[in-house]
Amino acid sequence: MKKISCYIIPLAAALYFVSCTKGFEEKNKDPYAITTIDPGLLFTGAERNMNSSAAGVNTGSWDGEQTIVQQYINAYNTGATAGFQFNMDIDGYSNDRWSAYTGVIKPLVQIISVVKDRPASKNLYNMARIWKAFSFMTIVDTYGDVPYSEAGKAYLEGISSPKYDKMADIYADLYTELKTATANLSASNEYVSSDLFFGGASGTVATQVAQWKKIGYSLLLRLGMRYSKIDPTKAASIAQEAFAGGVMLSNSDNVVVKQYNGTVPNTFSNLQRNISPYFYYLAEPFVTQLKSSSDPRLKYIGASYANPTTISTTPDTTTANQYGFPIGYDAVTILTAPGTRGAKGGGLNYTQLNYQVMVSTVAPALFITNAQTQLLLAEAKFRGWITGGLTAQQYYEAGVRAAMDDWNLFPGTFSPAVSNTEKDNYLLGPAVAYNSTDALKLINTQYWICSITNGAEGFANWRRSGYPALLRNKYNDDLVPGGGFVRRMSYPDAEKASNAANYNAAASSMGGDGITQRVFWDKP
Amino acid sequence: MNMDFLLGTSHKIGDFTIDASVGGNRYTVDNNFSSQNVTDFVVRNIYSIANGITKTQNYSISRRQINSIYAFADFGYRNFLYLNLTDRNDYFSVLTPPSSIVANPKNSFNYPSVSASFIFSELLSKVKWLNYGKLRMSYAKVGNANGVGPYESQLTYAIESQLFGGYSVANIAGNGNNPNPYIVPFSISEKEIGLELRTLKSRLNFDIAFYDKRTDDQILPINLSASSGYTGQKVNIAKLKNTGVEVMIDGTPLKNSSFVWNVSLNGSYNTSKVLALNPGQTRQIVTFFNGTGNEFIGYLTYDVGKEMNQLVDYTYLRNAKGEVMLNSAGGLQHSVDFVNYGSANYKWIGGITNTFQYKNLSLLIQVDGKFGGKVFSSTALNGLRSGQSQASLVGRGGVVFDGVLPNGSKNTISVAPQTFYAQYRSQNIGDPFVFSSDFIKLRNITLTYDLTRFMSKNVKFVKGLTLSAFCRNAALLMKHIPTVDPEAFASSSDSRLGYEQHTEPTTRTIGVNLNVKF
Repeated sequence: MKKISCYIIPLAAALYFVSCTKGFEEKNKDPYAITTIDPGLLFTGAERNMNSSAAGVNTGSWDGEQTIVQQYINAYNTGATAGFQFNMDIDGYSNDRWSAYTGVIKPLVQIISVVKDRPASKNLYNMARIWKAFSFMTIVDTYGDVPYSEAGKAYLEGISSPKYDKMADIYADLYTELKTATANLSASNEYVSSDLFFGGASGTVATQVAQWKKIGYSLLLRLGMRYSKIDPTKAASIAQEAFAGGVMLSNSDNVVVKQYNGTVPNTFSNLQRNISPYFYYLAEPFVTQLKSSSDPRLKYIGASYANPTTISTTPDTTTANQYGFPIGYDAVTILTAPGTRGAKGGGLNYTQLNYQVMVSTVAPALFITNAQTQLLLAEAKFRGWITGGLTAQQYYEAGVRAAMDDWNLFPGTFSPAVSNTEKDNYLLGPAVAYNSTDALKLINTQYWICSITNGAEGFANWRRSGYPALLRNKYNDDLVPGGGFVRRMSYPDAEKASNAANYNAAASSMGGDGITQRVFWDKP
Repeated sequence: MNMDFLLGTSHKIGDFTIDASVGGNRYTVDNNFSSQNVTDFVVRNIYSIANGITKTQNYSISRRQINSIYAFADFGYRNFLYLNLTDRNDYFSVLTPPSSIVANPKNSFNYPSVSASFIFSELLSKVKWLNYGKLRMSYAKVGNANGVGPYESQLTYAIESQLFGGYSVANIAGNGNNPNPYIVPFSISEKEIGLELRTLKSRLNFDIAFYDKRTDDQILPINLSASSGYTGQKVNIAKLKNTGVEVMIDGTPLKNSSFVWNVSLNGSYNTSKVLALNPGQTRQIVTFFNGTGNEFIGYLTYDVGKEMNQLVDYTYLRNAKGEVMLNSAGGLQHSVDFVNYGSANYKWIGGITNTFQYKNLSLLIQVDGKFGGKVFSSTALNGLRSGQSQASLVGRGGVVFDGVLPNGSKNTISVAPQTFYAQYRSQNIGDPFVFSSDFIKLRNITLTYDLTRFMSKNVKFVKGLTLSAFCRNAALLMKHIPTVDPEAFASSSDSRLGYEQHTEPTTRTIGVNLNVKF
């Protein structure tokens, strides 16, 4: 007996050990991790992340496009801030939009893969496709050729180095995606309560579908108008298609994140507000435009603080006291510039951003607005690309009024933000009143103003329309051969190493990865 | 928890001895972590959870297991020839077991080793100057899953802790690490040959070893194109080679009844090479220093055919004549392509220790050094662009950089120094910030006096008493990097090699030790 047990014990022990990987699968699962989720909640994240510096900025950082189109500038050149306002190409400013791939594209690709064949999620599927098309439009407008068909698939398909697709091909696919997804939204499908824009506990599927169809067609109009320089026929046909489908009509159709509050603030302007508010000044061309037309929005956009470093105080927002920072200077050279207003406190004596209104922590993030849509319609009508509806002047004026009303969503504004009398007077002003000779200039100047918080759209429409006719920024302007403007952002430096072959192919296809290359719809 | 079982046997047949065993091991780590934090208190000066306004909880579990079975056998012939054989198989829980995603995963690893030693001095008893001589050879393979944590192959979601205007917001967790279920253990195979000699009554001793180490399927966290959805993931990527030699010489040149001088010298030379990355790939970025949360420039890379841990960045834009091409404002422009500044790894490491003993007084002097590596200094970069370093004194009244303007003429434009030096950061030009990290240090001086003999014979319980004065980090005898200590890196992590990040100065320690033995 004793003899036997001296074999049994080791044998049992050996067997215990030899069950080599038993229980490993269970052991390597985190019991507290969420491994399956309602894709609707991911969609909420993807909607919100379009404007979150934490998860991927997609409406433009405050150091991005607005400094190219001369709405404001970061006057301080610390190396790390030597960006577009000085006609310079630095990686830090070019990377923001690329991060949409992780914050927005990845969850959308994941949602689409999960719900694609799920009959109970047909509306979510199509809303995700529309939102993805919107995000990609911005990414293409920013960089040109970009990863599209293989993007966001590191986990799903193991694609860690996505190839870059041709920008014109991506646009062609976005057209199909927008059209199909919008058409396939149906009030007989499910209600997506997790939709940040038109969902919620008390909504109905009929309203939600109607609203998302307007989003889809308004984006289609935007996409169609992008072809205006290279293929007017195509632009006209897509614009008419979108118009016939039914675009936004009122500000309640706006696609806007307005839920920011004290607990979850709009992080977009953290850097400006918390670290270096005195770096940023409204640019002279922008202030001149607003000041000369007595634009009632100037008090919400710009502000003069007693000391530029202290933005907690109540600023002076009197129109007559606002002064734009001249283009072509920085914080050092401005001090000796002709007619300089010099320094003030810890900063410079020029109009800053209004930190109580436009750049507040609870300011909304406007993505696609009725104002933009009406102005696009005005141009399409003026060019004779759409039939029926209102006149070009009526669309133009509707767009301007809608843009004024956007300020109702901002904190620290009057109620209403801009009164009807102010709007009427503004529209009568000589620099604003509609006339068909200057129609394109007037319409697109208004587009420029109303896109102040949406840099990507302002930059794209300025490249497309050529309005307003800005003077060239002469700071370092040899960096822009031909004395032109920044026309795109360069790819993130990290792509040169982590995705080298595809990066090189894209850069050579675009004629280089510089900031003067043009995206396909931006014909000189 | 670590559990072992071992079955062994031992036999002696004539001149031969055999020891053989089989065994198993189970190594389990289970960590439960729970925390409760509060910020802001209701009542002043009462630091309790209940008094908190904002409370955050965290609970997590981390668990891993390695199962192993192994066998080994030792053979001996007389007392001078030995052979040792082992074989071991490890199973790693952190790697993917068979599942729906990966049908045939490789979550286990088998590794053998063989080593032999020959004590030839046993056969040479007539050679009087040789006291001991041994030749050894070995080949060993080791597999490991180090670097892979639990659950890393699993896709998970994160729900934000705060509702957003009444909405729950979810995201896919972890942009930095794409769950990779295809990771296999990495393996290291090492060949070594060594010779050990003790001569002249052990007054002069040598130990020398040559090795050749190959690493396959190295597990590395790499940067991905963010367009893939993730900015990084862990992969089996590199095939590496390390070859080198290690030498130790120990000698006593002087020895008489009252004075002993002992010299101990050690040195090693190691050279590495990246043999292969993924098919077709020639460079892998290990770290983009600016991506580490610090404002900095440059990259740490593996480049095929080069030494490991290359420091890489842009250089000045130059024309065919080699002149620096400036922009029309006299400012800097970076090159089209990255350049290699060299490896961050040291090649030569050496040290010498002298001990002098006169009666009860002894003096130890230790000098060591490392050579052949490069380092990126962020102190140099930030000191230059903020005007705080000595280098920034150049051009205080305006920098006229030696280069040519776009029209081909020599540059005469004076640029404000702050504007100019900031361009190194914005243009990512590494040249002025890469240094050789070589150094020689007077590491330690210790003077010791043995007081034992002064102890009263009656104090039986004290066996020894010494008093010593020491000085550690006595002097930096040679270095190239300005301002900072080349050894004082912020992190010793492999992915931060070659990156000096505003390190605090090294301290010199001076002290007195009283050592009592009972």
